[in-house]
Amino acid sequence: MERYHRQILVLGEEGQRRIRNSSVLIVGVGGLGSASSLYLVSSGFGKVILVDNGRVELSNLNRQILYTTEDIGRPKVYVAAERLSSLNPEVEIEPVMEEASEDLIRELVKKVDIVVDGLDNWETRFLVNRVCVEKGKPFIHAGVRGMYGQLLTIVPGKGPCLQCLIPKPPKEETPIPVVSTTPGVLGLLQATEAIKLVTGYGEPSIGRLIIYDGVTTSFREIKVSRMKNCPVCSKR
Amino acid sequence: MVKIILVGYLREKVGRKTIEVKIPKPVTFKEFIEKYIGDKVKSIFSEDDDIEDVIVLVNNESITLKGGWKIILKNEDTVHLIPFMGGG
Repeated sequence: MERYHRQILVLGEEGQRRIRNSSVLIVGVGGLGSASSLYLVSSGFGKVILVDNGRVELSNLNRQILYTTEDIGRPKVYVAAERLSSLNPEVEIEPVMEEASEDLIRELVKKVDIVVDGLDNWETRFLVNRVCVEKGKPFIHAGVRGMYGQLLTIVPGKGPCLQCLIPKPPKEETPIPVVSTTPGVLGLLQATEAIKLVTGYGEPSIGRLIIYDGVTTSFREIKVSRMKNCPVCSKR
Repeated sequence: MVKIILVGYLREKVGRKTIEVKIPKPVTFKEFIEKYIGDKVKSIFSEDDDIEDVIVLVNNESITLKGGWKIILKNEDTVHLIPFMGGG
C-alpha cells in the first residue's frame, strides 16, 4: 500500500481497496487513452483492458505519450501494456489488438466496471455508449479538437447518455487538429472521474458537460438533460 | 432576450462568447438564425439546413429530438452552440 500512500490520505484505505477491486476498459489507446491509462494504472486499478488495432505512427508522438520514436510500427496495445506494467506491475493489463466491433465491445463491457472513451470517431463512440447503457456500465466520454475538449460521465439511469447530447452521428473529421496537451488534460480528467466513481468520493460530471478551453485556460460547465425520446436510454 | 453562448472554437470564429438578442415574438430556430443573428453565427451552419453541424442545446436540451430547426425560441431562452470535438 506504500505505493498509494499519498492518495490513501485522501481516499482512505477503503477507497484504495475499491480501486484495487475495480476493472476498466479503455477503448482506444491514442492521446486520451495514453493519458488516462497511465493514471488509472498508477492509481492501482485491479485490471485494465486496452483495445486498439493501430500501430504507432510518427504523427502520434506529439500527444500519445505512452510511445517513443523506437516504437514506430509496433502495435499500440502491446507497447502500452509493456509501459503500463513497468509503471505498476500490481495491475493486470490485458491488451486486445482488435477492431472495436460490436461483438468485441459487448464481450469486454460485460467484464469490467467502467468504460473509458479513448476513441477518435463518433460511430464507435455511439456503439460503446449504446452497449454501456444496455449493460448498465458507466462510460466516461471525452473528445478533443485543437485546444478544446469535452467530458461527460455517463452513468445509465442517473443522467443523460451520449445520444441525449448528440442524438445523430456527426460528420467524421479527419485528420482532427489537436495540440499535444489537450488529450492529456482530458485523459487525466477521465481517470479522475473513474477514481471518483469507484470510491464514491466527490461528484462525477453526470449530466454536466465539462468544456476545457485551452485557449483561455478555462473550464465551462453546461448542464445536459436526459431526453425523454433519446433513441438509446429513454426506455431504460 | 435570447442568450446565445458560443463554446470552443465557435467563440473564436464568431469573436464573441455570448450574444443577447431581443425578439419581438417567439420564432423558430431557423427564423432566429436567418433574421436575428449576424452573418458570423449564420456561417456556423451549412446551407443544406443540416442541424448536425454543431450541437445546439436550448435550455440544456438538444434540439435535434425536439423539432430541430422548427423549435420555438422565446426571449428567456438560452442557446448553447457547441462544436463537435471528436478527436481522441
